[in-house]
Amino acid sequence: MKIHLAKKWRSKLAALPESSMGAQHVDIFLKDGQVIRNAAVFNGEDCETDREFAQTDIQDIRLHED
Amino acid sequence: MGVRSVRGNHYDGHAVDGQTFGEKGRLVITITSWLRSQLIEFPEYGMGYQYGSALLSTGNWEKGYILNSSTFIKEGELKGMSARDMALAERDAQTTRLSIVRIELISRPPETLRGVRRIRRFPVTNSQKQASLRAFSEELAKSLGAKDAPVTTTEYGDLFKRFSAYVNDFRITQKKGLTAGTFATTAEDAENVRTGREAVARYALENKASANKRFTISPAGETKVREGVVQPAYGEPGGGIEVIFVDGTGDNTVSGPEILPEE
Repeated sequence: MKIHLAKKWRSKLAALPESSMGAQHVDIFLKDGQVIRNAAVFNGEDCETDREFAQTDIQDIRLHED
Repeated sequence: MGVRSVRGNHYDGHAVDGQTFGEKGRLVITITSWLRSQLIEFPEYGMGYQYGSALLSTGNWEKGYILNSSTFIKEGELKGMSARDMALAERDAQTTRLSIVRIELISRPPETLRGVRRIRRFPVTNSQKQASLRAFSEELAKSLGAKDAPVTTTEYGDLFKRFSAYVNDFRITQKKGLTAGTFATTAEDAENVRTGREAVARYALENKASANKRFTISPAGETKVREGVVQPAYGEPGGGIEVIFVDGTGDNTVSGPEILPEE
């Protein structure tokens, strides 16, 4: 599924390097302590993930490190 | 600097057939700073070391490991060495003479990580060969993805293109520059792409939306980039040239986009 991220994450991701042209791989840290690993984000706003979550569930987003 | 300045040294030993081996049969040679400056431009075989054959001043070839681009140790001899042995060997290697005349690096193809691939022999005794070494480095880098390539710089007038599914591509700043770590391709390579779908295939884009927005980037000279070949990924063949703008580009270096057909 594709989840649209809030603008604040877009500006944060813009300062981080891409994983390939047009894409970044990130870890999404949720407020309940769970982490969605290695999710693809396009244009800092369109997140592809297998798991559904709400914008308000996000604690932080960081670049995924292999 | 020529071969005379490339001092090879041995570990705790005696000469055998013109070579110098330690009592445990070990051969350790210090690599001069001149050669070191060449070696560090080439990829590692594994973390912290390169691998290849060295032509010694005795005329014999020895295959071995180059640790930290500074110490050559014969293949098979590293395994039994303790940290103390290694320290002693490196210390003794500072005071005795044995030169490396030539090195033939062996590269480990990242796409297989099985076996080795012989790249090219290059002499290290002639400083006039530095240009060919540079060319070799670039050639090798182009067989790798951009992330694994060394940092180089653009020249004035170089043009690049970026394909995107978005008109409002967020890697482009409000002042029409690129943010650090943004991917693009060369203008020459972009000529192979006529549609957004072709861009997805050639640059192995993860986003399957048609990347039919083509931006033009004209960075200042001496802009830092990494350049490589797009590896197959995400079900796409890749094969195009990919360029990473390490520190991004300055203001007013990006124009467009031009809109290509989607299919």
